[in-house]
Amino acid sequence: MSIETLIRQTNPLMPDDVTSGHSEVPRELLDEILATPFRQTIRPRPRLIAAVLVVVAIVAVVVTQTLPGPVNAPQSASAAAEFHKLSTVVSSLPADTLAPGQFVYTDSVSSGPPAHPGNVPYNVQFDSTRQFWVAPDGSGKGIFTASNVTFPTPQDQAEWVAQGSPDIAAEFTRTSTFGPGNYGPMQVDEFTLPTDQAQLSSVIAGLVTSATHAQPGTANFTTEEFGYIGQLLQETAAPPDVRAALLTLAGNIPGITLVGPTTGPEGVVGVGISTPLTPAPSGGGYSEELIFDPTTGTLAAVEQWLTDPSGTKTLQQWTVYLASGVVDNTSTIPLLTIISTTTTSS
Amino acid sequence: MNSRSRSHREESFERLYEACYRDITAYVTRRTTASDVGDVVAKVFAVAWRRLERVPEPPDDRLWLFGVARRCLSDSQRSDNRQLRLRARLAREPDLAANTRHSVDADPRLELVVSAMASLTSNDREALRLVLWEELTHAQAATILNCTINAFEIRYRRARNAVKDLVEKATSPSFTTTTLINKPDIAKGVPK
Repeated sequence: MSIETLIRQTNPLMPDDVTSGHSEVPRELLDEILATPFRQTIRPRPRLIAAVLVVVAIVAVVVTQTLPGPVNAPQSASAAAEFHKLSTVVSSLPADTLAPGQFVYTDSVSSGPPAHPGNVPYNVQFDSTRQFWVAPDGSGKGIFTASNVTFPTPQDQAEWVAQGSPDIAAEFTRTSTFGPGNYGPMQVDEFTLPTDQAQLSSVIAGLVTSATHAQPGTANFTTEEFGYIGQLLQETAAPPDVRAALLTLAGNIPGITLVGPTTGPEGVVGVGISTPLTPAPSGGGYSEELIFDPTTGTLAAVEQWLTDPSGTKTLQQWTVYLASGVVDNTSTIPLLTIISTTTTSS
Repeated sequence: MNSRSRSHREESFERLYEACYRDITAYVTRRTTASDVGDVVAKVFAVAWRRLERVPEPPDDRLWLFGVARRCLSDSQRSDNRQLRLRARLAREPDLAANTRHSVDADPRLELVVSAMASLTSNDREALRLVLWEELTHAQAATILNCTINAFEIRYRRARNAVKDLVEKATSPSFTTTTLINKPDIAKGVPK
């Protein structure tokens, strides 16, 4: 008996068992899902699509003529080359020309490990939807909405009930506004960031040094730099040359590796680039992966991975960027489309 | 949103659901505990419903769902904070043991195969499972694992040879089942 046959026999659910269950497709789940409002995606603006297509075609020709092919290149060179491609795409895009009072809207969803709401004696887990409206001067509004609240253990749920079953979603749902230049996770004015690589590198290193204990030259510092650049590429209306400079800087970070085509949470598809492993005290380590849309250079998702000593990777946290577009005020979201057939607005 | 487009969307999703539900449920059942199967499958199709415009045309739609299921399983394991505490034990006790239906009495080597597979890295183990359990081609499995066919072939061959060698060694007179189960790391040192 071949080893393949033996492995097949360890299958806990044989193919015959699956196909014989034809009548067991549960209608209840289908009905439940169909009754759920779906999140609509934003239709890219036709002018932008045309511009991107032209730019991608030009970039494809230029890159294939000037860059070494990734096939025989070391991984770090491949990652740097990928960032170079992304930077070239982004720098060629027209800047979003916003009329006075207009905002760039971005919609993302994140999921992370269990959290303590305040000092209560239980853990809770939830997805966080982030809606941001950012004006060209860096002012705007953010709405954070918690959903899919779950408890890691029955004990956590029991403690929650004992505390009077407080509304967790409401507790983690909030709105914040920020003034000119104060947008962003680090309250950095992305609109005035330098595009010179040395100056930009100095700014990023300064952010890492001021906010963490990471020592320059360590894997931890590299991961932090990479993560900060990723955060600066989140929901933003920063000029394309700033975003391109950030991408170029990320490509120069030592030790980054090209993951290649990848599928992230929520079915997002793109090109993944990862930091090296930051060793964990118990063995293994952590790494961060950014997933980009290669056609627009847009950050599509961020993932934080834990690799245990045996090499098994577990996704710890993730954020997926669902949509972006231009709106006239902080109370609306952009024009929407459903499978490119019907356009509507909220 | 008009009713015609809404109806079209519902119909598209229903076709996807009915065509792939059994395969996705089987895929999930083979990789997690019985109590988690329903939640994970529901999450996979909820993602598909929200991201229906991303779902490729058949037959690639099934592979896309496998990819989503793989992520959902990883997510599910992450959200279970007992996972980290159990990891060390799971490394010693094959994770297939709970839902493996084979009878050891039928062929004593099956237990060795289960132990040998548990000792592989997760990616190598998944390469074997996708081909020999899910009956996918190497090209389809490579798509799900986000790697080239060449990379998949290497991974598959390495995993297959590691299991084969471990089983052969374990059935040799100088090697006992206890030795294999207590030293899962030896699989990583098996070159081929």
